[in-house]
Amino acid sequence: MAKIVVVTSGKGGVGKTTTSASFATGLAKRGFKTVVIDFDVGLRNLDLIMGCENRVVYDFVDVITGQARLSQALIKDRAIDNLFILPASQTKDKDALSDEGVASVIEQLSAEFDYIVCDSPAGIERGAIVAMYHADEALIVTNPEISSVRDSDRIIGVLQSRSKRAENGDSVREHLVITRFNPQRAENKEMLSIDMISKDILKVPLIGVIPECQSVLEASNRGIPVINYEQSEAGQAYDDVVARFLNEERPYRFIDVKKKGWFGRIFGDQ
Amino acid sequence: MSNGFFASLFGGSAKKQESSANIAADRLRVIVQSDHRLSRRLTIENIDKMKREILAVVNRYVNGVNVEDVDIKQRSDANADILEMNVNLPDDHSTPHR
Repeated sequence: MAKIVVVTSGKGGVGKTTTSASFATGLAKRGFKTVVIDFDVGLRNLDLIMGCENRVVYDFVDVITGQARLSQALIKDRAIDNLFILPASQTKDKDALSDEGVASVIEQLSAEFDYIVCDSPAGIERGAIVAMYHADEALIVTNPEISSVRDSDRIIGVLQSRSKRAENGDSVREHLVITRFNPQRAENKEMLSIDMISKDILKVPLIGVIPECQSVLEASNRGIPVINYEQSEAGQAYDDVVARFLNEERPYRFIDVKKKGWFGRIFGDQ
Repeated sequence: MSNGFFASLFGGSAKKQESSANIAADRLRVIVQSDHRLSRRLTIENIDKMKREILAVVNRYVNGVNVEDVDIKQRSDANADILEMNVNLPDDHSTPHR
């Protein structure tokens, strides 16, 4: 039985797809058989971030409508064994994801994979709800910016009322991922602090802080998940997210203003 | 002039590693053009349909070709629209006549 993890945020453009791609890649690199599903029907982008856009022939909606078998639609990652992508359809709309259809695909994947990562579309409408419905755990992606935090609060509310676990009187385990964090601006009090977002406002336990990092753009330009940029701060921060998700202890890095030497950078702690 | 490791390995002397912005622009051009209509001839729905039919035909004659072995791009040069398709045939274990 796979564990199902939704990557969601409410607001668009905060790094859901970047996070989904790197998180799934990180799990697969550790040997878990992982599939990452693009739920953003009509506006698919996961294929671009994963660099497999030219290999999309069949998609999620084709599987649901019976035009393709699941095995035909799954795209195997070129670099990493154990990693598969189920792309969204570019031509249909979100209504094409019927509840029964999604449930059946998740059930089939569940038998075969260790982890199913669901990359949610922005918004709190149908697409986002379908993406979160089957989740056991959730990565809530937030920028240190008021509109993003507010939207995350909305989506957390939806998660705890509209998901399958919520319907069964259970709850979805939440983890907060803060992206595009800039320690200097936080220290200058120009940016919401990590504790403010995690503890005071959202009250969701933190699992990672991804610093604002040039490699994120570089990685998306090339279609390589940024976690594969092992020298980059964002890549290392995503590796920490995966490690913590798997219950490894990892000190927080890249959250304090850089000291003069490299020493402080590497060992910067909470 | 010193070149990077990549250039010395693959690119010979003159070639620099392509900037990621150029790679992004190339990838986007390909994807956006296929998302748009390719000079009114092909709608995105038809492109999708065509891909599947091509794959079905290939599979009729060669066993074991997976979707993931297929790479299909549509793009336009200055004076030509191009449909480009690469199919990696799987390892051949069972050809009767060879």
